[in-house]
Amino acid sequence: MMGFVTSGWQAIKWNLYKIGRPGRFVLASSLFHNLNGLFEGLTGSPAPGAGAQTVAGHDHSLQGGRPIYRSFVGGFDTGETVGYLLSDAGAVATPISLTDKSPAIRCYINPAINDQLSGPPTLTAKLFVVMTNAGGTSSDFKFVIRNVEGGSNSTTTTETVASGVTSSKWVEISGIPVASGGWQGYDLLAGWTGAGGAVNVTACIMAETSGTVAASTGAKYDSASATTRP
Amino acid sequence: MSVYRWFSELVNEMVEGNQWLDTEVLFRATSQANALYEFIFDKAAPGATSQAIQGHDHTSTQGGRTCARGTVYSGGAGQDQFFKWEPSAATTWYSADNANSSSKQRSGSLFWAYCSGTTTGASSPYTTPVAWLHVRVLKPVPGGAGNKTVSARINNVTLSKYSETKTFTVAAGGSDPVSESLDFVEVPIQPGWNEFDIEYQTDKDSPVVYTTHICLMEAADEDGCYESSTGVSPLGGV
Repeated sequence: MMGFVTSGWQAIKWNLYKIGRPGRFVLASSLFHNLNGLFEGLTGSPAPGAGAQTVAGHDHSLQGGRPIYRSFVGGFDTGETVGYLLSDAGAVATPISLTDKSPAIRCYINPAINDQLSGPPTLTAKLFVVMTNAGGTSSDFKFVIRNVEGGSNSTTTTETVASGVTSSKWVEISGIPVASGGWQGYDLLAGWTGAGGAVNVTACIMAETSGTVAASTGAKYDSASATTRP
Repeated sequence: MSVYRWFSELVNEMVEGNQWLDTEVLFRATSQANALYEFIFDKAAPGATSQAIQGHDHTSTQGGRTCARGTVYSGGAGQDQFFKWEPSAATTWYSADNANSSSKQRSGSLFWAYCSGTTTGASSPYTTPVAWLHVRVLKPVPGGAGNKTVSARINNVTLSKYSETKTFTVAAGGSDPVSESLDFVEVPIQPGWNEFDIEYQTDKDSPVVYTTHICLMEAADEDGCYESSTGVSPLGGV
């Protein structure tokens, strides 16, 4: 018998079958159609017995599936060697870029993780910063990462350094915008409230995290209580 | 007109040869098909106005075999100094940057990486090691007589677990620094941010060791990066 294998999506609704009645052709064919589609969507290969694939396999990017966080997407670590520097005899009340060329960093973000999603999703970074306060008063050092495409900023991370002190530590910056996803450029910005500040950023690790894709439109399935059953 | 989505039990005893399928069987089969659609594609099933099943994301929290993320950290400074190590005493562990200028020492928190796999087991060798670390070191000719044997290990500070220990020799002879690479295949990790340190110790004297490049990788399909598996591919192949 010549096989006729179709795959795709038809609504499989409750009213396609009735209690006490045998299953009808339209239900069976819809089931086969959708199950073949699920096979192709899951595996990226033609359904068993099919000559061609009609449903694109999911890839967790632009071909469907929840976006997967991909962890490290860009950054640098220079260790003992000089990193990104900024110093000024006065205060830098509004954070400014640490480089004269923009962007300072390029990252490749999952194209499906973009500002069209609810939230929108954002990246997180860990920075190793050396903050020197040569001024006569305590100073608040501020760090920001700016997305070049959208021109929007992350949340600001603030560290307070006492007068005459050099403080070195890892700081975290959250809320880094992803704009349209894919290739994105970023600038590092820093500033301080007192006089005589200097910063040296020697490491920056930018990552897609589980928080990046945390927003969900669905309820998590619980097999014990079957809570998703309408 | 409802579109049901439900991961139900589909047992063979529900169907018999040459018999009509009853409503319960069809209900379970159609609910399962709709649930699978939403689980795979993370959007409402055909005909449904909302999504009831959360899409898988290949993590332990939302299902799907855990994916290796490849490189999750990399650092180096080319020909310039990255991390400098010089022990104060023999047979004592020190962080790889303990001889950096003081403001650039990281106090046992050398780098961070956001990981997705889960190492199982209490100590190296672990039951499921899931990350590798490549380290390149530069070894200047040391003072003192005889070769020195330096041990190296990775400390996952977040987990309070160590990798296996590797050793290398800092040769007393010659005139130029010699580089060497080390590959750790038992680096413990957990999902989320992990804090790491690299530690060295010498059997004698105080040789200087520079760490010039490091790269941490979730170990692709090798060495058990997947948290659990039957080893069967979705297509039924090898």
